[in-house]
Amino acid sequence: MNFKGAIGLFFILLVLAGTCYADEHEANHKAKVNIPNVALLSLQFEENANLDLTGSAAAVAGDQINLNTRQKSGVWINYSSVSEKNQKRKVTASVSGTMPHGITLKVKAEKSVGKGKGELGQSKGLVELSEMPADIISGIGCCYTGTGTQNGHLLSYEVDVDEAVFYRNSEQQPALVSIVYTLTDDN
Amino acid sequence: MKVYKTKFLLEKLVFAGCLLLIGFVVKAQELELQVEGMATFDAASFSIENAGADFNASVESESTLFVTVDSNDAWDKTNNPNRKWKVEVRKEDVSWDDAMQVEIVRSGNGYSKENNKSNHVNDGQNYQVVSANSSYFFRGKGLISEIPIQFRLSGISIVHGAGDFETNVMLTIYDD
Repeated sequence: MNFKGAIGLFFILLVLAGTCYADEHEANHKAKVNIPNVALLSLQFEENANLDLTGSAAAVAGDQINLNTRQKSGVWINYSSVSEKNQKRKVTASVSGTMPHGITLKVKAEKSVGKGKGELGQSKGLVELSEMPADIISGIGCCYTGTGTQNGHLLSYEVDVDEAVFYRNSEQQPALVSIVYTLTDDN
Repeated sequence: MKVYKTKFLLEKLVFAGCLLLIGFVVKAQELELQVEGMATFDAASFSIENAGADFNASVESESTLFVTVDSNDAWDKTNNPNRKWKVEVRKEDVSWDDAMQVEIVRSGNGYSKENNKSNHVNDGQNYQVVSANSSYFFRGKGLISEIPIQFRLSGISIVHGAGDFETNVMLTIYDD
């Protein structure tokens, strides 16, 4: 190959390199997502927020007072819970106010229904309420119940009357108590 | 005989020089893709309106990422200003949940530093899912600065649990 030939080859290869070489370059970007802890609870009411347990007089002398002792409340518990892996939550209930003597109020959360998804909580069955928080739903993982009535856990209440204590102490005064529900970590 | 040997050596040197120059030219013609800015999804993006609800179906990144197509070769910039290129996108998961999808969109056109009106960008203006396999994103002509890119997350749910999820989104530029 002579000098002219070499120069010619140089230009040919130069053109070829410019046209044939598939250039590529890469850049990257990190996409980071931080999903936070969430614990939200609400009560949804089919009618109103009040549960009325009114005693009716006995129709026959000697009969006990009927306190309408078991009823579905039309109150639904909705919750959204996001926690760390293996961390569980629970719902507790407590009474705020003074219950009449001889009256015990119990609550039961039914099994969750509706549009919920994830590791929903399990009912603890019928639980007696007091001023101390009692677990009514446990084992709540990362889940949501869905919103509104017909989603989540329906609550039903039961009243037990200790007649001996009730008749001895009761007055004909309405007793108003509030029931407080809390979604909390289950340690 | 001595003249012949000298000429032969000269030819060899020229040939080797040519190969070196070609290698240099090829290397020097690299298009560069520069990424600036941040696209983050922080805790504030994940709000729940009502107890019992899931996260919003999709969340857009809070800020914008800017991509610049540049060349590291001055000769190329001057003599090949209308070079065509295309960008592909893929992701490499660090810690990720398969149910979550990263989507990407080109939300603007950027601008030509040289004010070359023939430079432009096409496609990529609809959100597309970024997967582990490289797929076409957008293409263009010439050197263009600060093409805005936005990310969107979909498929996020409470059931994934709290924690940090991370993936690397890789943008690759090719000659088109």
